[in-house]
This record gives sequence, structure tokens and C-alpha cells, in this order.
Amino acid sequence: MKVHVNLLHPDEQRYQGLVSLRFIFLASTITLAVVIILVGGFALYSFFSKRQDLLWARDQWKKTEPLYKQLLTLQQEQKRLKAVVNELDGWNHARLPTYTLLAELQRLVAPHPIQFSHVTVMGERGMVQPPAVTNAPKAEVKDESAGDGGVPAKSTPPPKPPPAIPAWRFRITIAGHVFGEEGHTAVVMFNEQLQRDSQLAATFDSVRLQGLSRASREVQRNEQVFTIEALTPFRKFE
Amino acid sequence: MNINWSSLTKEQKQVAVLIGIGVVVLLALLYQFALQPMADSAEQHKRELVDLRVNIEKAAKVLEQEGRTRADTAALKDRLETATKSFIPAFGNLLSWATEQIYQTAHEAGVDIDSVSGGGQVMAAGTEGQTFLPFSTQVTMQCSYADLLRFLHALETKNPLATVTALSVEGREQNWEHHQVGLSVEWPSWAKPPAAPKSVGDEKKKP
Repeated sequence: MKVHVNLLHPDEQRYQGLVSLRFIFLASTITLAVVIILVGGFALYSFFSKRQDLLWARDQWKKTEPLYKQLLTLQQEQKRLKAVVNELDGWNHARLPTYTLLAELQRLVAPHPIQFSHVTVMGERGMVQPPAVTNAPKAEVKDESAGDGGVPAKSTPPPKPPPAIPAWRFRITIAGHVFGEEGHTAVVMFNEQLQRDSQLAATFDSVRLQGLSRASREVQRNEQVFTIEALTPFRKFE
Repeated sequence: MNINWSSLTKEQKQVAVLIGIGVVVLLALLYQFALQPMADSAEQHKRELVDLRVNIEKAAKVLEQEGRTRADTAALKDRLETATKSFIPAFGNLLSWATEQIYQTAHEAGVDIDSVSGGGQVMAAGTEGQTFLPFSTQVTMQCSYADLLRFLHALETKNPLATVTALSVEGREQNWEHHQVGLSVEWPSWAKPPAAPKSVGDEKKKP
């Protein structure tokens, strides 16, 4: 058994590891410093770069904003003008082209044996409800998977119906006399012509012979009076 | 660089502790007064930058359409000006305008007018909130069917907004050629005084 006395002072003792403590301390400090510098430098770079971007964006916005606002105002004005012009277009679409109607009546009617005694056109203003949107979701759907005691699924409010559109509807009444043995045939043919005529087909919704009767009891005077009534579809202000 | 804490004097230890405390305080102050405001400001800048980019993008899209918007607005304005000048009576001067229109049309068509009367503005169904209200005029005349056709053709061609809302042509026993004609014509009239239209270039001139 070897026994020896340790005569070393504590400050004379040396670290026994592979790397000295001083190296570990220096390496850690330098690594930490480098990491802090790198992260800090990146953060600073990022900060100033963002600020630069912001300054550029502010400058850009300062240049763009007045023109942008001006264009927004112009778009508002355009919207307003469009609404007014559309309203006027509606007036044009809703009206009945009376010249075309009367000219076509003149062309269709045989001067003999039919004579008109009274032609009237009466317009009625009303409101037409446009058809509802068909692909709208159903207001309430039952949960099928829940069986008989199925709880209604979350109900969605029913879609708002589109606003009603003002429209004109015209009633055209033609009253007249027809002469001769075949007078009634002439009236029926005239009525059919009104229904078939390509010019008037789009104008009329319905054409009906309302009445055909003898004008007087005198046998010699073979004269009948008739009334035909036609109705146009709703001519919408749109 | 071997520092042995136990070998340091009391004063040296105090100085070392003070230096340590000083470094910590310095770091805390640096964080509080430099890093934290910088981070806050960076966050604020980031938000502002995002907003500005969104706005710039939106503006770019609108500005892309500038030419079209200006052209469309100018075209609409022209249409409205034409309509206002030629087809719509001036505000508050309805019957004289309509009378002038009817007599001028009748003159062109070679028709004699018996009477023109005004029914005034009509608050009809669907006119609430509209820019134009119907203004109704009643006209009576005696003319042949051919004259009536010429008159209606002239009226409807000259003014695409004039609407014949009622028409009555009645044959007369005494005179087969000339019929008693009554018609109602409606015109769009301003519901309230029209707003003075802005010129398209007005905004550009502003500083």
C-alpha cells in the first residue's frame, strides 16, 4: 500500500479533462456571442428591411390613393348614371309600339267586308313579381340519419324574393261591322290571322273573339257587329 | 485565466457580483427600452404593410379599369344628356314641353290637333324611389287612319320614351274618312330636380 501526502496547494491543482476549462469557457462565450450577433443582426436587418418596404408602400399609396379615390367616386357616379339610364331603357322596353300595331291591323284586315267602328288600346300599369331563384337552398332540411325522431337541421332563412318590377299590360279592343253572307267567316279568319301573324305574335298574349251578332233585324241588311279583344303580356320596365 | 473564487479577496468578489448585477440590469434595460419597442414597432409595421399591400393591390385592380371606367361613364353621361335634352321634359315645365312636342310632331305628320291637356305627374305603382315619374298628356284630334299612323310613327320614332298608354279611334257616321281620335301619352319626367352631372375630368384637375 502506497501512501503519499498531497502537498499541492488548491490553486496549483490542474484540470484533468481532455479540453481545458478555459477553452470551454471561451468557446461557449464566443459561440453565444456569435449566435446573439447573428440572430440580432438578422432581426435588425429584417426590421430595417421591413421598414424600408413600409416606407416604399407608404410612398406608393400616397401616389395611388388620390387617383384610386377619384376612380371610386367615378365608379359611384357610373353606378348612379347606369341606374338612371336603365330606368329610361325600361320605359322604352315597356311601351307598346302602337304604330306597328295599327299598321299591322290595317295590313291584315280585308277592307271588304270588314269595317272597324272603334279601336281602343288601354294600358294598365301593374307590378310583376319576377320568378324566384330556383337553385336557392331549401329553408329547412330534416336530418335523415336521425331516424323518425330526426331533428330539423339548422334552418336557413328563406331567400329574399326579388323586388317586383313595374310593367304595362295593354288591352286592345277592336269593334266593327262585317257585311255579306260570309261575314262571320271573314271575322273568324281575321281573328285567326291576328293570332298567327308573325309581327303580332310577340305583341299579343291572347286574342279572343268576344262577340259576333246581327246588327239589325232587317233581312236585306246583312250586317253583323263583332268585337275582338287582345291582351299583351306584361311589358316590364327592365 | 484561471480564476479561483476562493482565492479572490472580499473586495474583488463584491466587484465581480456588482459587475454581474450590472450586466443583468443592462440586459433588462436593453430589452425593455430597445428590443421590446423595436419588436412592437416591427409588429405594427408588419400589420400596416399588409394593409397597405392589400389597398395597393385593390387600387391597382381599379386603376387597371381606369380607361374603361372613364369611357363607360362618359358614354352613360352622353346618353343621359341626350335623353335629358330631347326626350324628357325639363323639371317643372312639363305641359308646355309636351304640348310643344305634340304640336311639332303633328305638324310634321300633317295632322291637326284639337286639344292637349296635361294630367300631371302620376304616382303610379312601382314609381316609389324612381328617378322618373310618369307625366301624362291627353290629346284629341280628328284625322284619317293614315294620318294617325304617320303621327304615331313620328311620335314614337322621335322620342323612344314616349308611351301611348291609351288610344281610342272612333269612326263617325257623317265622315268616314276622319275619325275621332283620343290618346294618352306618358313621358318620363324628373321626380326631383336632376343633379348637375359632374364632368369626367373634374376630379383630375383637383390637386
